[in-house]
Amino acid sequence: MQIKLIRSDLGVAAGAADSKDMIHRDGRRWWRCGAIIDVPQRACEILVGNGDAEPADEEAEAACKGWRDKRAAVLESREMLARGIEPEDREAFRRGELTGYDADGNSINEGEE
Amino acid sequence: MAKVKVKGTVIKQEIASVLTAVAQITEFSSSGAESETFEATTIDTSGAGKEYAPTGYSEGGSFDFSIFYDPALSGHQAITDLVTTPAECNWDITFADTGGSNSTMTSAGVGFSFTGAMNDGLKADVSLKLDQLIGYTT
Repeated sequence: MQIKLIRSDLGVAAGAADSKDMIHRDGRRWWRCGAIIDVPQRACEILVGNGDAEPADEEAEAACKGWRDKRAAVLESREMLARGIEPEDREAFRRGELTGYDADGNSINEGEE
Repeated sequence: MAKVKVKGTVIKQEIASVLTAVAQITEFSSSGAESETFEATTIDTSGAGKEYAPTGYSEGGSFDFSIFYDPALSGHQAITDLVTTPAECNWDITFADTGGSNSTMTSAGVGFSFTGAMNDGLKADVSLKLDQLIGYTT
């Protein structure tokens, strides 16, 4: 079954053969956002459920029944995970008051000038 | 030279060639990695000091981390899948330094145990038995 990757920060695991859906950045391989890949059912369920991908064919859609429920919350949680947002800062992230941390661990808001 | 904070570190697990972040990690540690030696002392060794020499092999040790365990979370189910269906798995730890340094590793086996206490959240400890060595940054 096929899924579409919806993030640009998904690394490629060691041992995976090169494909046109991978890009090289910072000396590492990354999946291209929007890449459609074939995966087993369990991987489909996990990657869609984790907010990394969306079903890209009927088979995947059937495997991930109800995946659109609470999707906004799943994607928001996934974004916080990628940015390493601490639990005590999650409400501030939701309010748009911080987007991450600088190298010293101080809160930053990339939207602010 | 820098003192790298832990805040913002991301540990990723392979799901069908895709490295995706593991949620709700509270701490992590690597242990047991060492280059192996054998005792090379002989009767005619001079001095009191025992001699050791490298075997040429290194033990990869283990990589452990703790999480607030959410049994309904896909990412956490991906970890327990490795207990119910043993398989090697690739992992990545991306540090919170300015360059986003990372180390890669492969687990040959996974230990998973969870605990509950009245005054705490549901937690789990994950232990990865490493195949070969962590891909340390050089």
